Amino acid sequence: MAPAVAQPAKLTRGPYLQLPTHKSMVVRWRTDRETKGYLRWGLSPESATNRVAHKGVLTEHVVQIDGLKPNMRYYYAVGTETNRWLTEPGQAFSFITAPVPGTVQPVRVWAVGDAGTATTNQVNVRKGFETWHARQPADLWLMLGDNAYSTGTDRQYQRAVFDMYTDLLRRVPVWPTLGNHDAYSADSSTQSGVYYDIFTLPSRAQCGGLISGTEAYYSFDFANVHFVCLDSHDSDRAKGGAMAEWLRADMAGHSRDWTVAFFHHPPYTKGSHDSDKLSDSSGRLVEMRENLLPILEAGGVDLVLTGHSHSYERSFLLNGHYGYSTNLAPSMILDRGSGRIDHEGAYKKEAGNVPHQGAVYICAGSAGQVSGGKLNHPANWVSLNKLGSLVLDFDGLRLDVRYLGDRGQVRDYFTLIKKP
Amino acid sequence: MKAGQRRGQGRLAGALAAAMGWWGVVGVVVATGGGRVEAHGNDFEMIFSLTQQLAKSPGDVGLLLERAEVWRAHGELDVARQDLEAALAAQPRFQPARVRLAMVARDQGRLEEALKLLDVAALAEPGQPVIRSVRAGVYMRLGRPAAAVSDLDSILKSDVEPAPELYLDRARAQLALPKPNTNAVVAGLDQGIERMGPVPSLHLMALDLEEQSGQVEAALRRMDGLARESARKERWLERRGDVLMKAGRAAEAMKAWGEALAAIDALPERQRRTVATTEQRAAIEAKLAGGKANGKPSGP
Repeated sequence: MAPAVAQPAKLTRGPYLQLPTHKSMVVRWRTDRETKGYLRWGLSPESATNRVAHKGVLTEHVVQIDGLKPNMRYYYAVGTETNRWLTEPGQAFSFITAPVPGTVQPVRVWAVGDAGTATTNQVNVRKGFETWHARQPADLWLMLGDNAYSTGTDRQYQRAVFDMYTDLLRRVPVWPTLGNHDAYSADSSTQSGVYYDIFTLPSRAQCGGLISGTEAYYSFDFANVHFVCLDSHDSDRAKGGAMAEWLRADMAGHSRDWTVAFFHHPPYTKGSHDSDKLSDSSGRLVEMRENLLPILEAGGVDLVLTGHSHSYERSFLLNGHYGYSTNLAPSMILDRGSGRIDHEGAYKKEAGNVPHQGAVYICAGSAGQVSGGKLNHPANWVSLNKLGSLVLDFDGLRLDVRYLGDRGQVRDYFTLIKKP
Repeated sequence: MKAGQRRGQGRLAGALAAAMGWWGVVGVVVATGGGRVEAHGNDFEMIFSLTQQLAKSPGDVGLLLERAEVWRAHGELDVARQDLEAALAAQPRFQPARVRLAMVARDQGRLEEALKLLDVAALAEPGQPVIRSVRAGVYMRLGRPAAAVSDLDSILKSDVEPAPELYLDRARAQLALPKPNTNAVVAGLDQGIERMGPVPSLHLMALDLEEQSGQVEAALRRMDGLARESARKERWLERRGDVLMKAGRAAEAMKAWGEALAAIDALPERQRRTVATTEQRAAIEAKLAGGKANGKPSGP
């Protein structure tokens, strides 16, 4: 009888990109059996000969590449053992390193909320963005929670994230936040479970910002934009809680031109959830609005992205609205216009992180399904029961935001301009 | 998860159960059903779908657990309890259901019942941090801080990656002891800082404790370190002045407040004239005026 020949390991997940900085990148992938993981990279497919491996024999491969140059495209391949590669370096397996923090250059961000249905809806929203991505690729990508329905299991993540966005994940680093459905299979206090196993996130401010000590909430810089991710589901949302204290210090300490915050539970929604109901989601929407929004606005936040309601709801330029919708006072709406540069003009703010100059709040939990609702929150300039995703284009002191439909059509848009 | 760390290696239920803790176990139970849950997103649709599936597979513990979680998330605790009890009846050793049932009991205020359930689960799975974390919370509500400290200690000594909240929870539990040892509490917070880096919430609690217990020099050292690392130093300098004044070191306090004003003056104009900064300036100026009115400052 012939001896059994060991089958070579196969790629079952990824590769996908995490923790992008101007000099490093984390590449992750999964194989169907335990093996040593290798990665090679270079500035061209032909010169992708630098090698790195992780210690031990694993199925979940997490490799950090160091010593990279800013704003450069690198080509990479992942493998299981020396001279056996699972991918070939090429355009499909390449990434561009982040610019040096603070650099002013165009930045494109894609954001999807409540995407993880693994349905044709999700496919169509992705395709709607891909036409835009082909013209100008996204530099990074935000997931606004409920990334994999219904309970955020590993299998559901495989279908709704890794099988759904295979090509994008190989080229664009992704930054997630925890949604309530992800939290069925994850625990923030011990940072355990599927969500925390899948993502490598900056608890130690590896990509800028301030050390949070946890992957549940974190911040990072990309070019002249500061991003803040909060955990609206499973971390303490109290005014004096650890997340709030960290946020206060983080917001006070950064000096980027723009600040974008993202978390799952929206402060202003009348979609499939109601931000006026204390009972909705055990009060998380109310707590985020009452306890965390004042800190964000005192830190000069410009844009707040959320999901949870399966609709698109976009606010006016707002400041100081921390109560229920019936408490919305005219003085809290700093600009009653559309924010459209070709309509009523862009929203305008002073440059710098000036507190309480106004922010736009977007609930966009509509990248996988729409669920209707009254859609009549008075803080919102527009509310749509339409599928879609968000594209943010930063260029110096200008930010253009578009809500793209599932055929790539622009369903809403507005501009924020900062006066130097 | 940090680069190179081994956690949640495979897709097999056993491997995940070993690696990921209860939430992962719950997920695995559902996942191994092979995509049975069809509803997406809307929780009531989920309940409807799960109910339909349970009609086809009565007693399926994964489905019962999942439906109970949806009920629990909506505050429907009695219905959640029924599902969890049914899951436990079907599989008495299924600890995720026991832990969830304990959480429901806790949320219903039935703390002794919650504790009994968690004790059984902890005995069956002594290494699971989520059980101990939940039990620590129940101990605190029962007024048993020593037991809470013990559970939290065991989590923090294990190889899980704790969030700062666990260190804060332990500190609060330590402070609730009949004779709290402030130095030990601060040392515990500093352990967290050593492990995770200078997390603001841990530093702030340690600073409060040092101030309250009159450890002025320790508090000043901590504040100096925080000011060095902070882009905005004025708040630390102001607080430094407050601590010094409280300690009777008025001259040093006046100096610190003066430095705080200078730090504000050094800010860009747009930051200097915000409401918060204007108010802070006024408050510091009042303190300086008050210090001068009290006569010649004392101190070294």
